[in-house]
Formats: sequence, C-alpha cells, structure tokens
Amino acid sequence: MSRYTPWPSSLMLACLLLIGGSCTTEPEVHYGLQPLELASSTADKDRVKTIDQWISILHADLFGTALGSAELFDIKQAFQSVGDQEVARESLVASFMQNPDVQLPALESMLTNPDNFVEEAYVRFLVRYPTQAERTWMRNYIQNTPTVTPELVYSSFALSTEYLHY
Amino acid sequence: MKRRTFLKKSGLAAAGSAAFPTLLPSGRLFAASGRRSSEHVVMVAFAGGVRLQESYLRRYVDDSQGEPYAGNIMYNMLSGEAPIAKIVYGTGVGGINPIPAILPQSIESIGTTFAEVSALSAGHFGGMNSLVQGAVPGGQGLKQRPLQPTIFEYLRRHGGYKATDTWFVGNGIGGSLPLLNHSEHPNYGAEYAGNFFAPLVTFTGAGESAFVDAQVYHPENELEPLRRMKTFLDQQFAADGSGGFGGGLNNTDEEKEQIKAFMKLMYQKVDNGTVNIPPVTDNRDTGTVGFACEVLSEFKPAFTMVNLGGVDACHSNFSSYLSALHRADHAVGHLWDHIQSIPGMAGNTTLILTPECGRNLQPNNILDENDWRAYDHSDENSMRIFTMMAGPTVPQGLTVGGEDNPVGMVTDTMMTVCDLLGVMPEVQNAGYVHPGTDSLFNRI
Repeated sequence: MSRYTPWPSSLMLACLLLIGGSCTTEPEVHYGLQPLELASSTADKDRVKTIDQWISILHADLFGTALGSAELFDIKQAFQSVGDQEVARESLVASFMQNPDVQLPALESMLTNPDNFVEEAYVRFLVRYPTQAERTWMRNYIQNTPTVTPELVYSSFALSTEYLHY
Repeated sequence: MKRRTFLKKSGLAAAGSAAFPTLLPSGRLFAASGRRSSEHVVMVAFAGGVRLQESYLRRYVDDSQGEPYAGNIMYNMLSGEAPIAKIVYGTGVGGINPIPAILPQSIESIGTTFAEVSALSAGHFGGMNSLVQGAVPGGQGLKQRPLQPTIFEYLRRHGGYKATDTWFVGNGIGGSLPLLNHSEHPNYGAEYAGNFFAPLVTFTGAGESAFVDAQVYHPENELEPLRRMKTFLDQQFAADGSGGFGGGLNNTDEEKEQIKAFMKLMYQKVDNGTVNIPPVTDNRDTGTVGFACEVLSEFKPAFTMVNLGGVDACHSNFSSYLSALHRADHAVGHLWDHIQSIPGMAGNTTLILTPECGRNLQPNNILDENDWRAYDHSDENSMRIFTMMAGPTVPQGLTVGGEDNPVGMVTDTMMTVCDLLGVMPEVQNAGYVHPGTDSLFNRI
C-alpha cells in the first residue's frame, strides 16, 4: 500500500479555483530619488575615500559619466607607479582637464554669476553648500584674480583634502 | 689600513665644514654626525636572484648544465674572458651575438668586490627588504610597508636630504615594490620617504594614458591661484591630517613641480625615442635603467636605488636567465658610463650593487629550448651572493673573501650607503638593523 493517499480530484479543483480567484491587479509602483538635504558643514566627513572611490568620483564629477573598470584598473596602476600620490593626483586632474569631454562651465558664466558658480562647485565636488564665509571668499578671489579660470577652480576642489573624504 | 687612511683624509675635509651649523632642507640645524665621503650613491638591486656560479664565479654552463664551458658573461662588471661556445645570451636568433662591452674597464677592476656575501633570505621579498631596511622583514606582510625604517628615511631624517635627493627606480609595481620607499615606523614614515617611479609603468604603460596630457601650469598665473584656493579649502576642512588614501612624501611645491615637469619631459622623450636607454634595450631591466639615467641627469640625487629583476626568468628558462644576466650587466655598464657624463656626478658617485638573493644549487625539472634545466631559489646556495662597489673612495682592484669564504651580509649594502652619505652613527644608534650589520668599508 502506498504511503501517500492521493487527493480527491474535486478537492484539487477547489484549491485551483480558490487560488485563481484570489489574484488581484498588481499595484503600480514608482521608483525614484527623494531630494536629499545637503549638509552645510564638513563635520560628517570623517572617512577617507579609497583610491578607487576617489578616481571614480572624480571622473563622474568632471565628465558626468561612470569610469569603466578597465580604465579604473589602468589609472590605479599608474598611481602605484608614482611614489608621491599628491603628484599623481595633481597629474591626473591636470590630464583630465585637457580632455575635450570634461564638463566645465564657461569663463563668462563664472565671471557674470560667481555666486552661482561657487555654489555649483561646492555641490558638485563637496556635496554641500558653501558657508557664507566660503561663498564670500571664493567670490572675491575669483573677481579679484584675473587669471582664475573654471579649470583652476575645479582643480582646486578636486585636489582639496575635503574631496578625499566623505 | 685603507680604511684608516680614508678616514684620516675625509676627516680633515669634514672638520672644516662641521664647525659651522647649516640649516638643512629638512629643517635640521646640524648635519649628521657621520663623515660623508661620497656626494652621490647609486645602489643596484641586481637583478632578481643570481646564482653565484654564473655571476661572480664565471662558470657559465659549466656548473649548472654539465657542459664544459665556463666564462664571463658580465664583462662590464667582472673581468675575464667570455665563454667560447654555447653562446645563447646575446642578440639575434638564438642569442648568438654577445653584446659588446660598454666600459673600458670592469667594475671589478676599478672597485672592490666581496666575492661571497651572505643573504638573509632566499626570496625576493625578504631580500629586497634586507637591502632597503638593513633588516629582515619579520612579521611584515606581503602587501605591507616595511616595519623598520628604510634607507630613504634614514637619509632624509638623519642626513637632512630633501625628498628629491632620494629616489627608488623600480622595474615594475609587482612584489610590493612601490611600498618600499618608506616604512610604517612611527619615528620615520612618509615624511622621510624616497621618491619612487616604476618608469615602464609611469612613462610607457598605464601611466602614460593617465598622465600624458597633464598640463604643467604657469607658476604665477595658474599654479599660484590653484594653490591659493586649495589652501583655503583645506583650511575650512577639519581633516584628520592623513592626507587621504595616499599622502605626499614631503616634496616641496617646487620639488613637485620639478617632478611633474620631468614626467612631461619623459613623455616627450618616449614619443621622440630619445630616452637615454642602453644600446641594447630589449627587456624591462634595460628599459628601467634608461629611465634611471634620466632621473640621475635631472635630479642628481644623493641616493638612488635601482631595482632589476629580469634574471628571475630562471625559474622556467635557463637560457633566458643567461640572456637577462648579460643584459643586467649591460644595463649596469650603461648606468656607470652615463654617471660619468653627468656634471656634478662624474667622479664623485659611488656605485654599489648586490643581488637580493641567489639561486639553488640543484635545478628543477623544467627544460628550455636548449635542454637546459631551470633553477628556483630556496636552498643554501640561494643565500650566496656577492657585492661590488666602485667610486672615488673605494679601493681599486680589491677582492674580499672568496668562494666558501663569505665576508659580509646583504644588509651591509644598506649600511655602506649610510656610511658613504654620513648617517651611519645615527642608523647604528637607532638600533633597527639586523645584528652584525656593518659598513663594508669596515670589512675590508
């Protein structure tokens, strides 16, 4: 005699009807990003980026695109071949700046609306708004230094110690 | 006797300069207490595991493959006739054309050779660390910086040498080489590190793609504003002072700009084919030495370490090992020849070279195209190496010790550099080197 007793076919049919009858319409789900309040200070940045993070984020901030894994690997190798990592960082930033795809604001835009330019730079690189003191210093420096360009401002942000942290 | 005479002469010269304290680039008020007897020292880590039999003992295939052909295939470094048959180490098909000598006299004939020296490790990692630390890397992981101070840190901390006075030119970025330019030691560290390039990566490989377009900014119009803004940003940031994933080496702003300008120049020279490479450059060692020559010309460092490693092909191909050994010698000949052409370095540079380890007495089972067996490095024979040095204060034509009569240790090479550059008393007092380590001048 079998250990298992087969279900009566009428019972199986009832179950199928019950399951089928319980189906409801899939609710419409939307995914998106909630606006995030940017921090106004540097207090929370107490962790140091890894070399991978710094290079990848730099590329995203300057080009608006993600860096491929092969390119990241090559750049890391390049960094390992130079003893002074500050020199390596400065060289990479200066090299990126010569790339025609780098997304830099126009010089006119910086000069005509320095407040907006400064705020965008802080948000882009440091993920926060500038304090009033920072905003004032940067605006004054840009307005009073004729040789300052968006490239130099962005380079200073990319090479800043704060940009090494998150 | 020779040592005493040397000390007497150099002591007189040092007496005058020691009377007046000088503010050194590092901020130290007084110079190191040792007597500096050489303006420049170039140390070669030669060249990736070298059997004493094929190198100093000049036995070619007579003591390895059962073929009765001895001879010297390192005739820039060693004196003696080349093998008369079974030539595989040169250029051309089968390596039948030996590379002509560069130097009119061998390093052996113009310097001092320690015919057999004791290594402290049979491996590359231990050997390289012995050369840079003067100690064995006990407890040090493979991907970890040295635990004890390195020669670069000793020189910079105790000798007041600036960052671009000390260079490490590596033949690659494997084997933790890039980590050897400074230790994790709390009293030393990155602040006293040596500069480092792995030039075949920096200038011809991945580094070229990453850095070649870097613009060298105008010092006043561009660099000054950039630095000013960076300084302002840094002042606003309450950082922990770590400097991020990789800090600087305490190069001054001027030194950093010089390094970047040098990098730019190297990319141009690579494009133009004008890097000062040896006449035959067909492997990594010869290429590395070409860029080392460029570093010497540009920075005229007090201390430069050059690492070669091509002979490690011996793990699987004995003919390639012989070829690489011949090229390592060719590279050293070119290096020494080039040093003599650099104003400021010619005539006052000391060259010292030591293999980081030897190779086994018995072969493994891998046969190459000539049916010759390959050699690994793990036994007692791997602890047999040699050291050569030449320079203005080095006795000429002198051989110390001999086969089975070892004199000195691998760590002596580092202490000898300290001796030549005037920081030996401080290094000895620091107490981090392997017991018994001494300057080779004291072993003559």
